[in-house]
Amino acid sequence: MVTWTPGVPLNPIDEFFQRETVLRRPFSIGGLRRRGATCEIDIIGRTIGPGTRFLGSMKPGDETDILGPLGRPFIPVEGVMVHVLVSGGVGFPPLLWFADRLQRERRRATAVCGARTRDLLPLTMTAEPDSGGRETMCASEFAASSAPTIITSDDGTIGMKGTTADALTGLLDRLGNDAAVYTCGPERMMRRVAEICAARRVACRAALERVMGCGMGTCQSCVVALKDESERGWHYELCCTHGPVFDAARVMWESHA
Amino acid sequence: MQATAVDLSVQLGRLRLANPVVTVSGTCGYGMEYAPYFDLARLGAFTTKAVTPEPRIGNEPDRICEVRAGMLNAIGLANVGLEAFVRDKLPELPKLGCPALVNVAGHSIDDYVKVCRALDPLPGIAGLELNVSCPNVADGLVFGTDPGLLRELVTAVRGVVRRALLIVKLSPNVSDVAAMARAAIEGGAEALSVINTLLGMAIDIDEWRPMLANGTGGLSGPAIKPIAVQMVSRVYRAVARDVGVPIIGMGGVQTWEDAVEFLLAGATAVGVGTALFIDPTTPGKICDGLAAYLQRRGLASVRELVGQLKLGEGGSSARPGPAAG
Repeated sequence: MVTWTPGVPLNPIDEFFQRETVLRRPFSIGGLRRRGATCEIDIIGRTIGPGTRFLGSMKPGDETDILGPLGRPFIPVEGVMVHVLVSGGVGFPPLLWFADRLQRERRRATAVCGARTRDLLPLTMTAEPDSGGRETMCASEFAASSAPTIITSDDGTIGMKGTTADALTGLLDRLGNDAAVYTCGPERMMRRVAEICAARRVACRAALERVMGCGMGTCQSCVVALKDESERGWHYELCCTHGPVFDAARVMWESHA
Repeated sequence: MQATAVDLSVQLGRLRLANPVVTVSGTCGYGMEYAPYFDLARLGAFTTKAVTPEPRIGNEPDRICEVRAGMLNAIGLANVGLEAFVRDKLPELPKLGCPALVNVAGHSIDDYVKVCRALDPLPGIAGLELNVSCPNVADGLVFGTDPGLLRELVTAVRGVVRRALLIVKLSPNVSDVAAMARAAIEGGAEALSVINTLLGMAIDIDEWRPMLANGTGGLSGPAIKPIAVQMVSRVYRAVARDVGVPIIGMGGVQTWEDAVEFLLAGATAVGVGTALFIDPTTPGKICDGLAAYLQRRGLASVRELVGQLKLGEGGSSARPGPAAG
């Protein structure tokens, strides 16, 4: 005898067991193209658990539903020469969306994208990135918005060997700190980026990631601790509705430096 | 055949609800958070997040964790506190377009009495639901697990609540939920919410730590539905039916079929909680499904389902069939 569930392949059974997820998964919007009453949305992610494995197993034509747009996006800081977009791993999608906005507003953008190794950086390279940490039109996703890109990898398998923090330091030196920084990626990386910016009095906005239940401000799970002038010195705000973009100078980081 | 409109309205004690679907405290904010997503006026009633005498920032993150067929939460009763609730949130409640129930929590009898005394005379509050069963604060379970204390608490609150419907939300983390239901009713509860979350834990096997910063949390979602249905049935048959105290059945409700189960088990109204996180339009879908079900069964009112579970004296199924042996 075999048992099966309609629509679920007979194997692997592990996949079926692990699909008993209940909550939605939050993703950044990487790109958005309107076509009449419909629109195409770019979502880029990595398989890290049962939810993303399920989404990754979907085929063209499969149906699902989305709830959004939710939260507050990156907003350009006024009065700076260059807008610097710093991402780690698969943190770049909201910065792609933002690069498109910056181009439409005729603002200058430069991207810094890092990963531990080449395979963990799902960008399309049209040319080998500079190994010395100089920006070039190497990544087609950012080049589409006229943004040159610096690529870094911890192991040197692509671009400059080092971290996005190293590349950002060099870039801000060259720009004389006449820049604003927008970042999305692992919390440890964003914390380092925020510290570099704070030391140079460069504005920094960070798109944070938290465990979210609803995305609509009701479950109260995705709290971010932000510094304030109160006696306690901080308060919680919700990542889903108040964020996910926050002034990095106010964030009390969860990771250690 | 002419489609006849079925009657979804129910009587929750002194409250008339347009339909039996109620949102569950802690899953729908203070009111207007879901307004962009669905018409709140379609709800039977709305229940706010818990209100405590003082503001609470809640527990450290991580506060929730998904588990198979459910989720754990340990929010820690994060809320704006009584003063800010009355000033900022209460004026919003009439915009809901449905009766508003306010969930009340505290650490002591005085806490509950203070909040209930302040809220009871205020317009726009149809009912007060005592949260005596939050598993995520230091002493939250004490009132919910000791019948004597619960009776004392409800009696004290009963003395200051004159206008609003007094509801007590029971904890499933007890050996006999019916004993707690009896204590709440003896104290003066006019309705019971059954059940709150079950105490649970999930462990990060890389870090060897609990997934939640609080260590433990409350389990909700479809995983707990059979437990909730059983407890509603138990409370209904052992206590509530005979004294005419209505039950709001809740725990893992996602579909109209789930709602029918709760109604048959003895609930007069059905709470939708965790499902709202996934699909805030769930209450409307449940109402539509209930109406279609009643029509198919030739029933005129949803009230005809309440407590109609066929159950033998010993709790066995009364389904007719050949005798065993």
